Amino acid sequence: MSSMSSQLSTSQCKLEFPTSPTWFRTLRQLITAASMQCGFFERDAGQIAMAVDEALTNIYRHGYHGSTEGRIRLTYKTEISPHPEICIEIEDDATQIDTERIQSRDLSDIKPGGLGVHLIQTVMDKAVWEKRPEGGMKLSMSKQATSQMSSVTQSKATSNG
Amino acid sequence: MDKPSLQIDIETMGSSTYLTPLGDIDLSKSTELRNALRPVLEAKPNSIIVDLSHVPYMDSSAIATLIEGLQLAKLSDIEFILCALTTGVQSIIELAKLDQIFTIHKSRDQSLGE
Repeated sequence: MSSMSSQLSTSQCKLEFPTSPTWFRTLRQLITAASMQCGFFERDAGQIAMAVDEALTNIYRHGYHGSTEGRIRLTYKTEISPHPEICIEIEDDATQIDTERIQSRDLSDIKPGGLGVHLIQTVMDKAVWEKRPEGGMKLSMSKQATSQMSSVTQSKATSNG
Repeated sequence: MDKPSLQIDIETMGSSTYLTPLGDIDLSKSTELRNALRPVLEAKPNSIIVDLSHVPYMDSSAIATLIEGLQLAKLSDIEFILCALTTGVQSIIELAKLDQIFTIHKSRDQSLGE
């Protein structure tokens, strides 16, 4: 499921699972653990997992219209150096959605719903949706830790005195 | 994979009703929070306090349920308070810029004191 490079600085994982929301908790735990392992602090790792959760929820609700029969493929790759970074790709075979329609809403209008895209775009450095030529959608996201966000950097600074 | 249910303790103290969900509230559980809030709102207590001290994580569907609760409470002149937010819940409420919209108490004791 996961492969480590010879320098142990990179790890990669590919998963395929059904569009059942009961699976999403497991995915959150996996992404949190992977983000922390490559050097993100717990709070930031939790936010990355939340971005993934919101993306999966959107696929379930808007792509597969609440069906648990669909499939989702998630790939992530983490880098420890030079800076902790996680790149995540999520693909589905669901109804294609015009990418212009995928946007954050005005948060000053207090109402239920429509927060998912805002949360994804706020948490991640990059979040790009595209239609797959063979059908379905693909979301590519990435986030790099700043020095304030990296437990690896802080650990190095402490050990260097 | 079985769908675990969300346990929600409901307690009435004087004119206030406390809801204490136990566990993550995501898409698979937010309906249960909505179903628990509905009769409490219909009972029209002076205040509803949602104690989130046992909720490590909530997603945007749970936030939507809380916004609904806040809006329905306002219509019935009920005070709607969130208390004892965990780091994970605090994080999503801040990211959604809702920390100025909800009345948030640091602890259940602070809510009891009012």
